[in-house]
Amino acid sequence: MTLAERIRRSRPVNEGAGAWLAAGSVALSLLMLGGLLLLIAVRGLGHFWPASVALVELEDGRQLAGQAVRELPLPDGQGRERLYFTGNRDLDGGVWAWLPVEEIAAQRHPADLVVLERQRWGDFIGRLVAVEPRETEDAPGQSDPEGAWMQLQARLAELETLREARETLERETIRPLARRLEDDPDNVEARQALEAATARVTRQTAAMEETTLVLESVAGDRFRQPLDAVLAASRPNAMSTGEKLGAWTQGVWRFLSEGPRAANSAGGVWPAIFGTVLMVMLMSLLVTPFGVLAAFYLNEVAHQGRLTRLVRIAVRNLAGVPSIVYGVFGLGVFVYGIGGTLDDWFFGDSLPSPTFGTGGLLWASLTLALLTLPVVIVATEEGLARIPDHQREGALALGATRLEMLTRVVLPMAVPAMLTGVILAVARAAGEVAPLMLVGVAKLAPQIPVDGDFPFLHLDRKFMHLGYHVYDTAFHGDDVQAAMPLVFATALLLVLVILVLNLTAIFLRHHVGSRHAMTAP
Amino acid sequence: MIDRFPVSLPRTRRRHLRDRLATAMITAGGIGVILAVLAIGLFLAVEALPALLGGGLEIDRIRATLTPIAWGTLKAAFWALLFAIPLALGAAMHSALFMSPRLRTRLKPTLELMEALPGVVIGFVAGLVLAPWVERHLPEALTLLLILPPAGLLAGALWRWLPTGVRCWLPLSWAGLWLVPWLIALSWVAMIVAPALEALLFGGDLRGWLDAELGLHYAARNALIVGLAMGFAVLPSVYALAEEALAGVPASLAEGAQALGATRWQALWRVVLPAASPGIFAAVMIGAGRAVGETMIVLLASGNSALMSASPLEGMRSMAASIAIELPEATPGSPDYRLLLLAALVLFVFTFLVNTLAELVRTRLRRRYRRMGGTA
Repeated sequence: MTLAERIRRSRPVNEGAGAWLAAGSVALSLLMLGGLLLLIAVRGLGHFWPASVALVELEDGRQLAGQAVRELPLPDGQGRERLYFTGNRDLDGGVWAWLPVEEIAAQRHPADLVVLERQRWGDFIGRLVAVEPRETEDAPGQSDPEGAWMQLQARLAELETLREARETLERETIRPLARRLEDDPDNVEARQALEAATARVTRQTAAMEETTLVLESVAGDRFRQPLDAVLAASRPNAMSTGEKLGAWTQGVWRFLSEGPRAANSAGGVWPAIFGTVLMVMLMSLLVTPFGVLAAFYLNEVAHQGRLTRLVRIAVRNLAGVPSIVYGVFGLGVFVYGIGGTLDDWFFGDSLPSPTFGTGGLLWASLTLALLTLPVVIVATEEGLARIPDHQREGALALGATRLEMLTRVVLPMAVPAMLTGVILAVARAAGEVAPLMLVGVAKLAPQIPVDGDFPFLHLDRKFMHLGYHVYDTAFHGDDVQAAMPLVFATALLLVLVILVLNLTAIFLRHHVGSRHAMTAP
Repeated sequence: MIDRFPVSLPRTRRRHLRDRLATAMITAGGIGVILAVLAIGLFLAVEALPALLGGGLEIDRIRATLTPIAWGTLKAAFWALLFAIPLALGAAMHSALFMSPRLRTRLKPTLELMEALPGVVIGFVAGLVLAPWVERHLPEALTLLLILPPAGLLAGALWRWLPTGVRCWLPLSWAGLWLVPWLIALSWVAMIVAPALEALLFGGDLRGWLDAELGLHYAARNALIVGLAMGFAVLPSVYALAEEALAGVPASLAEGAQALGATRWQALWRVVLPAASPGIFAAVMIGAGRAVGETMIVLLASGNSALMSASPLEGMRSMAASIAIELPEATPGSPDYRLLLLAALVLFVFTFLVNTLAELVRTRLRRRYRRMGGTA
């Protein structure tokens, strides 16, 4: 018998059509999952890469500068058209330009095109003519783009230090002084110090507003731009790959550390990250003790009869109840019920504007805690059920009371299962948006819920949330096209957080399995 | 020796007192927590039922409000299950009986991760990326839908003609993995042939043809998109439960069938699948419960217009999405508020019943396997 024959005989050659169909569905599921993750990763991370700016000359002589975004066939099927991001909302009224590809006569990437990120009007794409120290009426004399660029770089660095200094001054001097004055309006010393500090801030602001840039779009419109409103400047065409990588890292960092601008369509997501993490932390503080308590009761204390079995099934089923139903419960009971009553009792003087009678951090955490309770209970119970009975019996036989047996023997052994439950709960809560829409998430929260004012943690404030940020920006934004890259980046961040949490839970669960394999008889 | 540590009576009593106290506290706390969780149903019933029992709301109004959104909910869930169930069951059958154990231990956590993907992300991709793409590339999308499901079949047919050496390199037990590039290649082919197919079959204008011949108006955010996205979200939970049921069937059953000359697929189809059918039913039920209650995907990908059309190419509005949109604006205690609470109650009762049914079936099945000598 030859080897080939032996192999052919050793495995069934024909499994039939069904087996292949089934295999195909595994592959299809994996393909969809991989495709989705890849799409989010590429679009989310790619946004921060400084795309090169093309200078497009059209057949009719018009010129246009922008970053090519994508290309599609024309609706009538004749030829293709390309979408450019051209910026300059203040000059053109819009930031997008669809150009038929065959009308493009030439396309170059000149190194002197600059991209400015501005506080108002979004990005500017065009040429930098000059940097002027003061608002002067006469037109700039000689044009020296290279010199102007160097000057701009230096000024931007100065500006950054000035901004930081101003922020520090406001945070560390002005606000505490103002609070002291509020408590004690006759404090002359504080008043003087406050006035001096305010004057310094005014001076610094004036210094920041001093410089203006003379800019020129490629179409030839020339205008002045106060440097104060410029956040960042780059010349993507002149950058090497290394420099682009640096700019990319900086872009990612700014996305993570800054607040949103321009109706959430630009800037970063720091408040949303903060809000999500804070809410989830509060939630796990609430859910862990109660979940563990309920699991211990069900598994260790309660009489294991029909009623307990029914309750166990009911609790398990609550994990499958839609999250929006929990949101309705949170709104009806926590916000309108308990919150309204609290307002009547303690915050009567600020009514009718509600304090706790509206959605807020506390109610959101409570609602999500309720939502994730079944997860923690089920996971802990599974851990408890895996602990062999001889461990409990051994402890009792040595004279331990039930409390001692539970706290010294059972609890330590159940810790990994509890941790798994809490992590799964956190992962679920971090991704839930629907209930939050009812009990306290905000599109844009001006104040984060933690600050230096007593009581430091403001449970009644609304907060921002990564998932809701994705929903709101994608669904209610004015210019969804412009906001898309940031939405992708936010979605990527959310998915990453949840994946990491879940991987931790999976790792822990395996750890639990191996530990009990050792302790089991 | 024993008398060296005489038991001090007061201390023992204190210990026992503390024990009794703690037990009482655990009992009270546990019952309290469980009652709090179960209070959800009570609250919804107390708030919503008066509306139903003549609390100032005519039955006509309730019907007019709830019927379209109930229809939308069921329509979305139907399309989602239509996508999810064949895929999930196929994947479960493959991984329970054909897949190499090494791949299987990797696949299960991967699909668990898929379950954890937040609905808002899936909904965003479906509503703002997939929907516009399908709107522009409808023929390509439909070709993909037609070509990808039987792609495994095609691969199997070709596989039989491969030389033995290659076949050993591409065993069926790893097909879940090596079919992925094959699917990508087929999708690429589909993208190329789709315009030609459209020109050949529908005169180059599929959407016009659908409108003229079948009377199907195409909306960008439609039931197909929602079904695909929500199917994606539901798939992992159906898969997990179905796989558990299939893998729990005692191996002796399948082995017996194979010893009598059945192929592995025949053993699966005739023996294992019938034995596990209650578990598979439970898996489908759980999937239905999830599809009915999923909010963010429907909200982002369905268009949210309360239409009563059966067309898969038009949008809908589901109960969960209605609650999410309207409840923050409704005044507490007003008829609208009560109506929305009624919708929430319906969702709660439906999912709770469906899950209870599934759970009961699963418990009974597990007991049966244990009697048959399985390990699950």
